[in-house]
Amino acid sequence: MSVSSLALAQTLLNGALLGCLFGSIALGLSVKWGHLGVADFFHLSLTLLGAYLTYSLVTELLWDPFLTLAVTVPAFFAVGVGVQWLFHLIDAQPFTTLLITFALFIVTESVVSMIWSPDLLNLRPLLSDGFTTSIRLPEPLPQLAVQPIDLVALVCAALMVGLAAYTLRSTRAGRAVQAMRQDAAIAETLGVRVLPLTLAVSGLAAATAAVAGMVVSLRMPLTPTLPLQWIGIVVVATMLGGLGRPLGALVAAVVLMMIQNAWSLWFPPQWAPAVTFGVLFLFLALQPLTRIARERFTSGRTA
Amino acid sequence: MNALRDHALWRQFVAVVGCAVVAVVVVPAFGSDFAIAFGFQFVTWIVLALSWGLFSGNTGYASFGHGVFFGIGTYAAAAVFRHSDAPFVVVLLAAGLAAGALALVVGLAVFASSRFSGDLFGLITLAMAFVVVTVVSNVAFLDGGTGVFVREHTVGSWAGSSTSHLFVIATGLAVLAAGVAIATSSTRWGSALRSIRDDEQVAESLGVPTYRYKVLTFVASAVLAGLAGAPQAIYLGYVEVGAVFSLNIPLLVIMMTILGGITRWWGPLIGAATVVVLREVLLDVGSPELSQIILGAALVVVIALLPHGLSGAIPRRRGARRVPALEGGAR
Amino acid sequence: MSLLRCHGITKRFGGVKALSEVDIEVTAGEIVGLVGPNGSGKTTLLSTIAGSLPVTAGTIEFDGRDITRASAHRRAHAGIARTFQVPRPLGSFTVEENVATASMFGRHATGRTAALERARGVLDAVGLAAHAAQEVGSLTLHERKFLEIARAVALDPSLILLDEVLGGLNPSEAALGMDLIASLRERGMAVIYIEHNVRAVATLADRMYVLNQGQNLANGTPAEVLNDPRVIEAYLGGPVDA
Repeated sequence: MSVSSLALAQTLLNGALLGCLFGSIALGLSVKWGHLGVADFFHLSLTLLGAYLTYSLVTELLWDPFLTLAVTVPAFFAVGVGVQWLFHLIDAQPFTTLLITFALFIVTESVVSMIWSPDLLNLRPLLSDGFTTSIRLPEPLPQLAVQPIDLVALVCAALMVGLAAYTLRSTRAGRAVQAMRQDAAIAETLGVRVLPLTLAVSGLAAATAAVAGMVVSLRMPLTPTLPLQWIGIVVVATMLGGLGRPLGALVAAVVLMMIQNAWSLWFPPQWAPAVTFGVLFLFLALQPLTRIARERFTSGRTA
Repeated sequence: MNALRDHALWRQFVAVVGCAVVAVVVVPAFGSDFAIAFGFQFVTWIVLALSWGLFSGNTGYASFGHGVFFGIGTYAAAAVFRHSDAPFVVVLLAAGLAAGALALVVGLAVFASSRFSGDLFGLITLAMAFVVVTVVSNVAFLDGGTGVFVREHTVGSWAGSSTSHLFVIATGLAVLAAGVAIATSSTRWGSALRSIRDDEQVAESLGVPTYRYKVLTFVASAVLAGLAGAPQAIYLGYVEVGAVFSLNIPLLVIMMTILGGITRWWGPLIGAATVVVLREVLLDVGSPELSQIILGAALVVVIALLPHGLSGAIPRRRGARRVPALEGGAR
Repeated sequence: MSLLRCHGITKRFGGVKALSEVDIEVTAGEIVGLVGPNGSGKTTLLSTIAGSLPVTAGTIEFDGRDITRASAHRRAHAGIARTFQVPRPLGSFTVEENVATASMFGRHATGRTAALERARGVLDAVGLAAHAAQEVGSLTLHERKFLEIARAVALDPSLILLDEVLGGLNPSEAALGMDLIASLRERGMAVIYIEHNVRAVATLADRMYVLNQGQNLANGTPAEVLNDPRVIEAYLGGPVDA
């Protein structure tokens, strides 16, 4: 079966833009997993909750989608702080936190389907044309088109991931977070206030779920089981990108979605989800090799 | 060998067999259809909880893939029923072997590197679930997306003719699982597994072949879950991906084991009893979502308040011994 | 004939070379002291010998067999035992169960009952018999350190690797510890002994190796090594030891 280069280019572009959305969901997971040691399933549920809240605020109160962030962002920040506070209170081990977030994941799915019904909800018909009419790319690629909402996803991902990466790498607070992950006790003696910092990181991570959730509600029809469809791509992107590296997760999500979309051109699309895990298992299998390669590369520098 | 001479172990095992015999005689004879079906589900959950505890409880490697092994067993049984006239024993073996084979492949790969312990192991077992679901829903031999009718193939057989017979089979499997759980409670095998949970590097330095123990125990745990899948296929009658591989199954199994506690072999048993009864009570609530919410919230509360579970809250006879809460694998 | 022969041991962590081309030999039944300033790679060397860390390059021979790629538990079976600098008892086991685990899975693997019996014998020898049934959480630092030694001894090794077993002990506890180490030699075990306190090592050791920045600096009898100008410079150049 031959596929025109134009169709391939369009497919890859769509994949990359959808990857941006998954990258911004992976952001919170990556930061919490990498720097707080919490592999947080609940982050996906929060994203879903953000999407449904946006839906309700837009359809019932007729708010502008972007205005909803004024409510959801602070609310989610509080939720993120609250969950981390619970972990602190019970002095939770990594496995315990994983179990708790898994339980919250299941609970949220049920809560959402109780409140909003298990049926598909679609915000798109209610949006103004500005959101839904696709835009042609400028020369030299006039045949390719993008959805405006995908551009919103791109901008949100770039802003949030860029800001997170910059903060982690180049600010005092960011370096404190890194130090804390290395050794909390030592960081504490160096004057890092560990508890407030973890609470803030958790809150900020949750706040990004509000933004990602808004994009989700504009981008796709909502069902309570969406997080189950995301979990593969988001977790795999987080792991491939390197835990605690938001930029890596974004790049990985973009590449994964491009591969998945391209796959669907040639092979049965229902196998596409397995592709993601195929990439993951390949990556895991290659781990020992990459470690050797890295040692070869870096040995010259410091030896 | 010494375990065989350990009278306390034998006494516990004999007690388990005794309870099972009484259950097998009494429940089908006097129970209503509902009681028998309830009993069947109950002992199936016991098999799952005990077999999860066997690997994950003992080693601290929390697996989210236990539902997959159960589901693979169910589907393997359904496939054998559909494509052959093999007797039930063959079906049972196929179910156990299929689950064991998957666990062997995954275990050999995952345990080869110490990086994949703790939460990473949990997520890999979860990923395994998604891969298996994709494969099963796309391979026509197993399912192909339409679901599989099993009832028409089993209705004439002994196992398929009555739920009481399924109850007997599942009770037999529960005795097997309990036997294994008792065996690991105070034998070399159990010591090896718990040393892995406490500190894997130290265990190695003391001569414990951790890789071998992890792989074999993971396989044993999966085989038990797979075996339980065979009667389950008959019980369901119609096998379908969404129900068989539902994430609720590993969640409930983990919940039972955590609730019951992992510090005694019988912890998962009382955990299973508690959760099954709780779910039955919650059925009266009406909405399945609400009962789901209550269960999930209960799990959070239990983890927060009773890190050692119900069985861990009961003091031991020969001086209380403190055991660290279940932690994500050793570093 | 030498019991252990390490040749050209190199270990990199990412880009950092923790050990480079280190050679060390141990003869059966001798105590070999291993000293060096902080960060000189002593514990790393011990871990590569015990098999907890794979080497980047080099070979390790034990009892005439190449064990460079053997896993840690195989080395334990072959007769290499180690202790950890910061004691790492198995937290859900009692003191005697900790020791019994080593007998159960060590060189002469036994059943549980026999292992517990042997564990009590070993605990008696290190002076922890009174604590046998206790949980490890109740032990003091010096008891934990001795438990590390007891566990190692219970493997019935021919080479025992001791990583700062006297660090943090008060003088009377340390004296007990030194007697204990000397008794290991009497039981026919070879010992590689790391200690920050060079004087303690010099008292016990038959021979000494000095590492500096991951490399062999000197070796010989304690007297030779302590009078070696390079050794003095390495120590005075680095952190001075009391």
